[in-house]
Amino acid sequence: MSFTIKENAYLNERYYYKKHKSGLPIYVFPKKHSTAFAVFGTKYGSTDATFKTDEDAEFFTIPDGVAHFLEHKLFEDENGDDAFVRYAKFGGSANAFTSFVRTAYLFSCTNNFDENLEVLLDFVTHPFFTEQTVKKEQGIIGEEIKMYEDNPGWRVFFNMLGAMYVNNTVRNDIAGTIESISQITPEILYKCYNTFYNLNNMALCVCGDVTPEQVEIICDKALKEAESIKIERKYPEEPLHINKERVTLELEIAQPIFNIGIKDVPVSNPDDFLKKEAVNEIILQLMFGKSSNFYNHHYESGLINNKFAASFEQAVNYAYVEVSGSCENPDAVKDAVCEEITLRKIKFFTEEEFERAKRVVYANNLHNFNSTEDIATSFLSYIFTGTDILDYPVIISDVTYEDAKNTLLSSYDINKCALSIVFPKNK
Amino acid sequence: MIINMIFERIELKKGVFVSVVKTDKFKTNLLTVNLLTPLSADTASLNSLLTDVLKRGTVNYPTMQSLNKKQDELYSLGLGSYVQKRGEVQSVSFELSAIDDAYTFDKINLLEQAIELLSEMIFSPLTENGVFLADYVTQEKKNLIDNIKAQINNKTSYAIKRCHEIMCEGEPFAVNATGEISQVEKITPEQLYAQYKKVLDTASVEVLYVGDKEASDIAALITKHLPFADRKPLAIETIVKTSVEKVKNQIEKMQISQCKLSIGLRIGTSLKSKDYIKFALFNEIFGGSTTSKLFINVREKKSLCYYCSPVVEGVKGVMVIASGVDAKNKDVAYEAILEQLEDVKNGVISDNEFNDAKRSLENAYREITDSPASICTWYLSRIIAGRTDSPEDAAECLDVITKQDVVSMAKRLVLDTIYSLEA
Repeated sequence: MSFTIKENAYLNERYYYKKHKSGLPIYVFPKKHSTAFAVFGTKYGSTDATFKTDEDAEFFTIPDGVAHFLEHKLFEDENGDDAFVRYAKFGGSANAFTSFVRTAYLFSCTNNFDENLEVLLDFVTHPFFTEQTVKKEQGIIGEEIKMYEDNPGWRVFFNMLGAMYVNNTVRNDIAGTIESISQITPEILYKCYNTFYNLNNMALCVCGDVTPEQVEIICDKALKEAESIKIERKYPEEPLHINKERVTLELEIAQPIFNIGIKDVPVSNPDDFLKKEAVNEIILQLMFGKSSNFYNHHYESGLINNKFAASFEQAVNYAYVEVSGSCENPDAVKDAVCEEITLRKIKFFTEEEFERAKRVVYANNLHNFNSTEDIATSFLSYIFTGTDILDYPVIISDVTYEDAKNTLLSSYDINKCALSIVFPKNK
Repeated sequence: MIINMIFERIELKKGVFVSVVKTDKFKTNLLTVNLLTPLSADTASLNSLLTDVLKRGTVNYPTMQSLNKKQDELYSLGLGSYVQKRGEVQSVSFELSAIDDAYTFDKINLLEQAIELLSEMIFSPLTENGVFLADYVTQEKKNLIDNIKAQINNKTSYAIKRCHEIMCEGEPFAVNATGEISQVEKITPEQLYAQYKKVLDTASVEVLYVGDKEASDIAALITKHLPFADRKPLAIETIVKTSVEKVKNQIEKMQISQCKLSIGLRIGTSLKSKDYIKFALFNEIFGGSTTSKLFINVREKKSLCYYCSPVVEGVKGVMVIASGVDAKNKDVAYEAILEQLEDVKNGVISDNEFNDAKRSLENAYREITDSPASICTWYLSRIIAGRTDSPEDAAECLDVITKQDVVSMAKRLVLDTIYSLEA
């Protein structure tokens, strides 16, 4: 079977797709850059805490932080060698990350692409966990967790999630807690690995000066066929209402920082995913962008400063708007944000303003096609949500004025607005 | 290997240069205008505030909102101004980032319109009674003071900054390029405007461009829209100290979970020197990569910290080994870090470590050519250090460096300051 080609002639970009015989979907996005980038990822993140396969009788629930722990541990093989050392033979620069809904292993290189790709595919498909190596990792990740404890931006963000969500696992820290990771055993790691690192639950995205055939040859060499698997994930029932309206914390910082979360519901049909993204980006640009009345009025009055920002975040199991910044009076900002939403529901923007906002969203998206890293990593998130990176520019331009107006009316509920603040410690 | 980048540097006026990196790799045009001034406690705060006030409004776009709307119309034109520190140079920088004309719906000449707007920001700020608007100045003073205070929020960068300040006390490098609160408070619109005129008329000007336009076209656009006059800028010399009289040791208390240990060293060379690349290779072996001695031995084998990596200021010739450790392990971590340094000095470098580091550094240099921002950062530092070699040139130079070269560079490193931020 040959590769399928997908093209966006306007952007002058294309990619090649194929389901490899091993079960792994592979995507190759040719780009004449010096740097080639490969991402090998699994649809498994910190929020996937309860699951079963068709072979399991019961659901398993795992401690918080396993996906991230697994990410660290896969780097080590049975000889105690680190994947970094293996990459180093070929000059590849490696990294990995765990998010709420996926885990990704990546490298970039300017030479020896084939060899580096083989290292990537090989180490991710060869787990090795023992009591001793798990124990050592608990030390390293323990330090990572402590480092995040001192990070006010991280704390204010997770407090917001905790205020918005009652049960949703997105409220739990990606790395877990010192206590939760102490419960991790090699058995748990193998269980999760064998479930989620099945090639049918994964994807490989490559971007750079490489051919699809080249990638396939390496996959043929490095990958064994995986039996198809059916994974059932169970997410806790989440009420529509928020958990708490306001949550605060004190840390060693200079000025209060805040995150406002407006809880939304995730799309039920994956086909609506990108449209929801585009509509919300346009609405937020209109309402809170740098050229908005809101931003300029409150900047001039001194309520907010240039750290003020708004974004829309979504995955299969959550969706929310996040408004963040740093200022003396976060409660007043929340009130102003809610007032603005209420006002705009009655008096929406003009068509002209709408078109300008759409142009901004379109142009900002174009910047993502500058780098092989941005393409490969965002590619993965598109694939795992069943969407297409090359469709997004078209979807943005297809958003109508009515779409934006209706979404504002239906999704922006000021009764589902949670405020998280980190205040400076009283000296 | 793909070489699809051409570098050209042109002197447009005396003291006004444009450097063009022509490439068809990107869908955007990036242009930065850098006014190079000596980093000094007297002017750092003024320059910093200046970049904030200039963003507030121009003669034709008198409010931030009208300016931002214009940027939106120009396809979300990125237009910014900020100060940056390179050794003992404080650059008053302006930046524009525009999508390439080919991707506009109406195929307009976007870059030229963008440069016109950039020109407005630099040359035609809104004034009243011959100086900046008092309201704008007052508001931006407050914002800047808040920003300076907020430097404490990121403990990692704060600990590095404090280590630099202590290490370089009495040298211009210790000056906070973002400004000092006590200085910012005193600034009047008159003083700020006088500084603006001075920087505009006397600073050496370095324009950098990365995109698909020809160098001659960029030169013509700059000449047409950015009317910098001839100037005779003084060369700004950065002090590079290579010896230390007495090691400084300082502990600062803060209620935090993880201790931030910062070890400051003088590297015994600087970006000006042709030896610098040997230092860069030393650094890669010592701590710069994921197969370096610090990463493998201090983080992975001893599990002592989550991060432990050197932050190098090449123009100044200093580095800080920044780490986050459990407070009870601080001394052990310190010993372990210095032990790795001693090992390099004693030539304990395996062939694998040596060759891995070369490949890793070569890769890092070549990757620079794939990011417009990295290309600009690379050339600005190089130009300030009086050179224009490309990342590709640097990658080519690595081959001939020997282990002995690395050992001799390691021996030049001198411990200067041990700083710790802890509970």
